[in-house]
Amino acid sequence: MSGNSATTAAPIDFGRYIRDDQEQGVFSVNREIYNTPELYDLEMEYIFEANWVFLCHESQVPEPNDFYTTFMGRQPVVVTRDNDGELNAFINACSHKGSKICLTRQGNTKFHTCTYHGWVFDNQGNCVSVKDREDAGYSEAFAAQDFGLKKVPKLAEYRGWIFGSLEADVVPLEEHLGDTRVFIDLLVDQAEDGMELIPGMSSYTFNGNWKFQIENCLDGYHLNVAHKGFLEITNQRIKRLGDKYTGPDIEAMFASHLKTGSFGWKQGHAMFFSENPAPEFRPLWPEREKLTERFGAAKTDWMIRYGRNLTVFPNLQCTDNAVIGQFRVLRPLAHNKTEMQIYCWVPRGESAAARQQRLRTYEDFFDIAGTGTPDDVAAYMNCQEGAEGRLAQWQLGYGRGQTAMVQGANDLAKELDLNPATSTMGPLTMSDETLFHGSYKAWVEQMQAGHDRALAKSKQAGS
Amino acid sequence: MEQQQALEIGRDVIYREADLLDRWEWQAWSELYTVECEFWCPAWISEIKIGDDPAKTLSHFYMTTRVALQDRTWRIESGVAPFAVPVPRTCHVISNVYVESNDDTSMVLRSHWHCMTYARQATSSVYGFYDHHLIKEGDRWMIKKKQITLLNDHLEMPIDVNTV
Repeated sequence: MSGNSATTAAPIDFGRYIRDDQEQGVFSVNREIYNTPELYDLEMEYIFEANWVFLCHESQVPEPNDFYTTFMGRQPVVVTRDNDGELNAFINACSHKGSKICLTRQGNTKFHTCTYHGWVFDNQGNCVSVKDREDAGYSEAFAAQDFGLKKVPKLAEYRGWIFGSLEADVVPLEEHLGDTRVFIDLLVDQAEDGMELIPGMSSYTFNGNWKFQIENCLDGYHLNVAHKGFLEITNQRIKRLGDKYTGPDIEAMFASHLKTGSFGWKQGHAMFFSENPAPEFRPLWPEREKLTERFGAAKTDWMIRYGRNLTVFPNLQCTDNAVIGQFRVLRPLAHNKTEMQIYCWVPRGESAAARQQRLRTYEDFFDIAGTGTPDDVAAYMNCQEGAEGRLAQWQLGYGRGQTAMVQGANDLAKELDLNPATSTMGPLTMSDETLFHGSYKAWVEQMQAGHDRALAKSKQAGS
Repeated sequence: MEQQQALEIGRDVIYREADLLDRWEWQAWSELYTVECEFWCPAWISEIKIGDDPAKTLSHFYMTTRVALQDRTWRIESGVAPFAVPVPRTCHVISNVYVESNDDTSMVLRSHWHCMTYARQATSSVYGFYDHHLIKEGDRWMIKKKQITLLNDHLEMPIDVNTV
């Protein structure tokens, strides 16, 4: 990780961006966390390039010699599966002149040849050929250097979800994921062969801070306001169909007796769940007996009966609600610009009918051409523009659920053997906002730790 | 029917479609489509390969009825969808139109399109190809299928039925 000029400046207290007074029951976020351009590079250096980030799903590199290109923070990265089926990841830049090596999003090749000067690397990143090396006139000292591609220091996989860290000194992936593994399992276990991403995606940018996306995935409060257009269309469809309508009762989806709640974790992850009053319309419903045999009634109930939205801090979100599952990977490009890649995930080997149902429902709401996501994107842009209203510094968007929230595990968490930082239960209309606290607290903690490390390093270098 | 005559008829339909969208004449636009119709914009599955089966790969749009298109335009003008407040202004430009095949009651037209969308005091731009399948119902030529190939699919702004 290279030092940033900002690290040589005076120490920053990142705690100033949030207000966390649990005694008084007040949590708030300062708008400067969204509208300060300088924070972008620091977030890249201290969070995205200093800790575990999601890279890709194993279905994107299934075969030996497959590769997939992505980013870790600002840095281009390629994930490969080598001849032996092992995963590797390295910076996607030739060690010679830094030209990008893999020029397509994904592909399959045993050797990666740089298109600029022809250096060749194997799929473990080793340099296997330097064009005209024998005539190069390299000094001995120069030739003694490692010509290979720079390896990503940490690479690990949990049930097909591939993560990496550009900083070697991090906790093991299992510890980083912590309890989110329980919910990842609930996705992966839905089919005997696990899950896969349907070919095709939406790839887009929006003019807004990435943290608006982090929040929105777990925000139940906006559903019948920002997505009123979608809900109205759905109601119109039901009315049109009359007696022929065989789907779920949409009004019932918002009933106050439904069990909803959330968990937040110290790593910044968070989860929102809500009971689905009509699980029999979910594509997984016909599988319930088979699943119960394999996993027991309680786990199967969690798979089918509860809609679950999960954020794995800082760059992955996964939903499994209503009919469909969605995978979102985010990448901040500036304090006011974020790139998204969103996919529809499905259990492998599901029936053609279930697949079609998922595709059409996904496209209807989640796709960037759908009737849901565009309204979220507009909301982020509106928030980014509104965040310039610096006269009002503190956001009031973190107070719902405060009196229902408990520190640590509530009964439900204990039942699931979870150890969250906060747990909340309440009616859907409570629309908990305490589940955002953990991500912001993790943000402060990681930013401060990164900053302190960088300051110590630059002091060392200076002395 | 001669190909030249088919070209004149077909061009009139797809020019009219673009014009009605840009002038927000939503009802008239939707009525260019047959009641059962296909409105399809497949997603790319790699840089050089586009989805070819809406049952297996993702589409940005895959709708099969006129009423589904009307749902979309209802949302655009409803005033409750943040993305369409205010309604984005669009300008479709269609060129390179030719008849791929035709008989007396059906034809397939290929064309290139460019749609500029003005929203939030900025212009975004998407472009690609259209494949229109037209059929003659009574005296009217209607759109049975519109397939949209979106070339610049890394998007700066969300898209909708009126901006592609």
